[in-house]
Amino acid sequence: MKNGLQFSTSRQQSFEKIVWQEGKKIYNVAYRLCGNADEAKDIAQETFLRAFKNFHRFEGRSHIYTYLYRITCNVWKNSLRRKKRHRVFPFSSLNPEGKEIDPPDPSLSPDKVLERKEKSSLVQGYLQSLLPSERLIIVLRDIEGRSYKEIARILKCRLGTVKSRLAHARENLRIKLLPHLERLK
Amino acid sequence: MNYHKNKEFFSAYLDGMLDKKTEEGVKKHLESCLECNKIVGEIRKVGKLLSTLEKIKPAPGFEAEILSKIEKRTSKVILPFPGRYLSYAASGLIVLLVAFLFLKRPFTQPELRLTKVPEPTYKKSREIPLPISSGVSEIAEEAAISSKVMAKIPDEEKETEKVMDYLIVPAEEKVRGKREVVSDEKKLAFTAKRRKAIAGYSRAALDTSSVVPSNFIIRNNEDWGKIWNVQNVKQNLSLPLPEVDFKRQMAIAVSSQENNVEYKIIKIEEKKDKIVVKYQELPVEEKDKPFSPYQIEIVNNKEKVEFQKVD
Repeated sequence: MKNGLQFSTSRQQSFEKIVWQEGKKIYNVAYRLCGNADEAKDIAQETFLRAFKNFHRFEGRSHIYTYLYRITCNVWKNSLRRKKRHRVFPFSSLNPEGKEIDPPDPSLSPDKVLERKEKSSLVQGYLQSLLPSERLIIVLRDIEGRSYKEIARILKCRLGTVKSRLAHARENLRIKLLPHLERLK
Repeated sequence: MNYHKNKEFFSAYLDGMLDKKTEEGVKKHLESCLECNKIVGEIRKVGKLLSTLEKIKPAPGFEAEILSKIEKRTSKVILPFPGRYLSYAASGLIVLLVAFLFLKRPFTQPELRLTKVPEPTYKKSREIPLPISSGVSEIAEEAAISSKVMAKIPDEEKETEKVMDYLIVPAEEKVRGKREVVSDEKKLAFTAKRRKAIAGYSRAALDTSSVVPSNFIIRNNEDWGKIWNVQNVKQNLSLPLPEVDFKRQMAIAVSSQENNVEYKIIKIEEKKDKIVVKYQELPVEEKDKPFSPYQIEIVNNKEKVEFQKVD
């Protein structure tokens, strides 16, 4: 293909469908990785822009979300490298605004709604305290529910590596969350 | 095979990722070991906690914004064959022309001009205040003005330096074991001393000509613990204190919101001898919207911190 920006209409329409189907999932992953709403939006947007640019290379051998998750992880890692000099503690984004979370379940009392928000904030805080590699694998496995095989494909590593990294990450998170486990059922 | 406290096995066991023989071995061990059983239970709880976390959704219009950006990129005009090369040729000619004109000019020593370097606009660092008790202003707390006296002070004066005018100075003091009336001179000196002690206190209400948001430069663990505590207390959270190596780093805490103005850090620039914090001033749109007291950045240790407002 001479110019990667020119696609057939049907491919463009397929990609549009993918944005609507996977957009929120990718945003959620990006948010759990960076802990910041603005940054999550930038990462997710960049993911789709890159995905579209190289969409002609996507042959459909893996599922589209493997392709998208891989790009998300790379975009996030690049943003970490850029911020290597200083760490940011976006406290405010740990309590995302009501519009960013599912509208409260009308069957839940206000106390329960607040409890869920606090739980989300607390867990996100501890996620942020993990090393980037640990956070990534926890997000992919325990939050997104990807299989070991999918994670190995996304991260381009061996199954054994996924097993040991995940075990390590879970152990670190378990120790950090231990004082709160009873309360956060 | 030793399965005791083998967390790698436990993690894979919970996910059904062990071979049959190892799985049997782990299962048998867990039947008899309470300690390992407890660990596995905790890992399971953490996993459940994570899998039931709320999905964070983007703001409305997120997908439409992405598609619009993609559309902008794909609507770039690609010149047909002859046009493209013509434009390259034209660009080359312009470059040659500029180079020719530049070389033709006689070389002259540029005039040396000295410009006055503006004074830095950063504020000095100050002591970190302890978490704020409800009903008592920070200044009043520092000045040790009691809540009884605070109740008599008009609301509009409570958050400003005027609260210092209500400072009750001692009427008597012990001098060489005897009680003596405090002279007016001493009373004035006492008030002045207290004022000076909290003069560096950062409140936008005190300094209406302030051009920068209130901020703290934290260079030690004690102050770091205090500011983190303020963040947690104000938002009813209990997040763990992150580690900072204060031998090579420092923390900059910038107030998020003061006097109906929201401050947002846009960029941090590290120069040779200073850190430049670029921020924006925005109007507060929702008055009751919860916010964190400070935006905190961890940067490399520098002597100076400069604040620059950007539009």
